[in-house]
Amino acid sequence: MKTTFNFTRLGIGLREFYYLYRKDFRTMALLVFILAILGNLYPTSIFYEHIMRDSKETLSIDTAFKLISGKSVTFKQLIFIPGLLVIPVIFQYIKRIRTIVSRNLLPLSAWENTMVPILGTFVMLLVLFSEIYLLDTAIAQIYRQIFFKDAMELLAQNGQLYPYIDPYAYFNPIPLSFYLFSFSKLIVISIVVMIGLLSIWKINFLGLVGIFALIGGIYLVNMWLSVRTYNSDITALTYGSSMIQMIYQLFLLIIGLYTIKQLFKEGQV
Amino acid sequence: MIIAKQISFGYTKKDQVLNSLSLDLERPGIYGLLGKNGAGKTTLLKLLAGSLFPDRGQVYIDNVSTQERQIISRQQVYYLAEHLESPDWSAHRLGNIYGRLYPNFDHTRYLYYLDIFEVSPDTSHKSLSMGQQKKVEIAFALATQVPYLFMDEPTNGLDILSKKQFRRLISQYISEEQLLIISTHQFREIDRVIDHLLIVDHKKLVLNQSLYDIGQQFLFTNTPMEDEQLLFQDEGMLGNYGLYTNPSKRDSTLDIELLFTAIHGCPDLLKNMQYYENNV
Repeated sequence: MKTTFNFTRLGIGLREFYYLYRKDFRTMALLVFILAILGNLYPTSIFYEHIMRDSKETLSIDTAFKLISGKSVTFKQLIFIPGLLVIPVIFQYIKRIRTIVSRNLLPLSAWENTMVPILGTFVMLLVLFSEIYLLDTAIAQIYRQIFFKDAMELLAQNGQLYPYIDPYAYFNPIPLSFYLFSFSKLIVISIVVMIGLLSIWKINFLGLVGIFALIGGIYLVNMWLSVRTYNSDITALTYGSSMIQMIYQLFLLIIGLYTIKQLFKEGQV
Repeated sequence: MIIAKQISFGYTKKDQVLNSLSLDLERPGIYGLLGKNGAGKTTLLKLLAGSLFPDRGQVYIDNVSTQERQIISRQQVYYLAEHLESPDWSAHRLGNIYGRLYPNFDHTRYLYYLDIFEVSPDTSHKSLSMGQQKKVEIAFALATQVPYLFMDEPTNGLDILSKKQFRRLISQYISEEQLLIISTHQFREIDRVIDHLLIVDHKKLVLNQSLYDIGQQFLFTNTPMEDEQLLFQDEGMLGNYGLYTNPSKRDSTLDIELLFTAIHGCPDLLKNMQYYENNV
């Protein structure tokens, strides 16, 4: 009887994954929190200036403009921080399977070994992204409570009766679409990292040529499917319907997972 | 049943560790695997367990090739490595997570073995001494109750008392249906628990016999014999120890060290014997 996938074993694999990397995960969650606070309290930041300012001083017009335009170096960059967790965690996980004999011989199938780090990093990213989103929403609310009224009045006095508030402004949490975009990119990165690590561990020339051909093919199809403009504000229709795009992304994911599974199957320690 | 058919293996193309080695382990029992340093004992165990695949030949466990890496086959096998391999979990967590992957894993027995070894199941792995960590791994390996258990130098790092406890556990709790192979350099630590002997030399398996059959074939004594043919002689504390033929099937105490030295010193010793493994 060939048993290639079993949800109970997958659950055990996920428990192993959690207990192996929970400290890294907690550290990353704490790091995100600290960076979120520091990102709003560094010297010359709006909050810092507000705390340091004499209470009699009012908001400057420059600060008001800054508040309605995009955030500088805070949450947009913070969203990519969890990516720093994904790569070492996947590296350690694969290294464990490829170097520790008793782990390599555990009754977990190649599919289960493939799905565990993907699902594990998926859940970790989901939790970290939720943390960032909640922090961002809370901090945006604080900015609104403290600065919104004063900033609007100041802008009105300077002729800006209906000022344009950027979606990435201090008063708004970062749009969910940006999270989705970053999340999908990090998942793709984790799959590519896994394929790369597994290939490097046991270089098989033909396999490597196959992977390069596949990446080249993906790149060409991506080029064909995407439309480039010189201005990111211009919405352009892409080739093909959104359904084709989604099927294509799913196809890439399946190819990626299948490649990893095949590489795991050949594993020897 | 474990069958290895003409297996060859090398970590590099030029340097072969094992060459056309064949092995047939049909009967359950406790096997001692001996060999010089670098003879390929660990490699052989890894090949039998399915952690390595032979360059040539095949290894079958219950008629399934190890290269297929079937889950059902891996549930039948446990490999205890020489070096510590467990993650930094408590023994309790180790049993709760990895134990569930083995259908016959017995958590109560696992805790009982830990109790015999005097290891706390709630202490994290890194807080234990090296010897205690080894005990946790041994307890886990025994509690899996897999039909095929491979142990590579299991007593390394254990103190004298723990080695004694290990021997006691092996002789008491390895069931009659299980096949255990212990690879070791410490002959004296296992000579009372094993019932079969495997010797690897010059990239091949040169001996695969039960201790009973070896006793029927050879006579070990420090008293000079007249009727039996002297095969090998070695100096010992109590005079010269001799390895003789045993045509009259006389009883003697097996001296594994003498047998191993004889095989190593005279590679042709076994070639005229019916038990020479490569003739099979």
